[in-house]
Amino acid sequence: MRALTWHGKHDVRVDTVDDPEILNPRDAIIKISSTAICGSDLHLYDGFIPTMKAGDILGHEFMGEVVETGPGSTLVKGQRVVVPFTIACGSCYHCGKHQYSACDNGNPADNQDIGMELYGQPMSGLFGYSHLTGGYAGGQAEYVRVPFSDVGPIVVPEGLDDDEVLFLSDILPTGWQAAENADIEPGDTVAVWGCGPVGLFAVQSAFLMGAARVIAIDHFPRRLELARKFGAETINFEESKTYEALMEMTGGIGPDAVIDAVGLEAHGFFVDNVVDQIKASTFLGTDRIHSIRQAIVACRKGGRVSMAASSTSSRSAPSWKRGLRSRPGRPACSTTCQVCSTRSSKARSTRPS
Amino acid sequence: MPGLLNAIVEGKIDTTFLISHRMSLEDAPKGYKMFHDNQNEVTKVVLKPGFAEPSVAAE
Repeated sequence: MRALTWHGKHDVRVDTVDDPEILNPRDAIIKISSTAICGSDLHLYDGFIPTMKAGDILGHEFMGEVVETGPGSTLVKGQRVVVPFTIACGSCYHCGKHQYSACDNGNPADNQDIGMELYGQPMSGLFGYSHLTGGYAGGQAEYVRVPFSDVGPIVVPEGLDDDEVLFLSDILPTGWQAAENADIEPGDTVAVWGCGPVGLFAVQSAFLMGAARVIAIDHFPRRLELARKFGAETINFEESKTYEALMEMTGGIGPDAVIDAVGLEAHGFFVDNVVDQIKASTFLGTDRIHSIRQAIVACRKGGRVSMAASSTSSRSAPSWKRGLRSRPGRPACSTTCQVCSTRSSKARSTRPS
Repeated sequence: MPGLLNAIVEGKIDTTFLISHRMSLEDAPKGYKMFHDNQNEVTKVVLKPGFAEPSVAAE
């Protein structure tokens, strides 16, 4: 079959490679009808992600037709499916909690060791995204093997085009979860850094969750225009100072919730970002997280920070990769005392005697 | 996930607006370069194996 393969920084080629085969009972083979290039594929293209090997097939946003199934697959030949990019077993502790990106079994054991070293615990498997995540062949190809095909794939209802559902594979749920992690409340003002696909879906999701205002930040005019199409106000950080603009737009308070949808390769001519870029280019650092810093500083006191964008640094990756929630904050003492009193009296009244 | 699928079916979330370019799988290296070099115009590249007209911009 033909497939898009990685050969080094800025060197990807379409090669003829072996067709995938059923290896495990729960596998299925999908004939690809549509597959997208993700912003995170550019991290591979730019050589930011370690453990890539020449000839690795890329692609983790794809869909197509089921053409072969193992005896343990629940899919049926001829079905159209969209395949989520995380490879999850469906039966471990984390899958039991529907935290599929934290699956213990989707990533083969020898690759898990690398994740243990870097992040404290192994990561789930991913399609076409380095040997850190299992070394699985991706879907920018004519065919792909889908492990645990009884868990991830979504059968597409009749009447929907590929273009309508393809992004269920990654960027739509990623954007939705970015908004969900911001705990948006009705009436909130939400700021979104980055108007790439994830940021633009986060904008739509934030409005659906009840945000009154969404402020989108980027420097690409076309992308800011798309954000405005969905009702967002926008800041072009090349024309205005982001922090000052946000303060002015929110009466000096700051947004209730901030979402970083930029992360790894943030742009901008700011002192901290220039330092990050020098570190990354000399391998003293692994990412450029200017947007995360800016989002945290601009968020209102007591607000919420959602970090959707990829991170690889030793500082933030163990948290991002594993989906940890942290809630820093000096106690709002008088409120805390009241809540504590209510909770402890409730606990006393429900304690079995 | 079915919730998001329903949101698409009910027209609450627009997904197709994002696609700026559709092209053949054979043109994927060109798609990577375009996406990398021009993120203003190239918002999303969708590759379709066997796509008849390579490198056709959406719309």
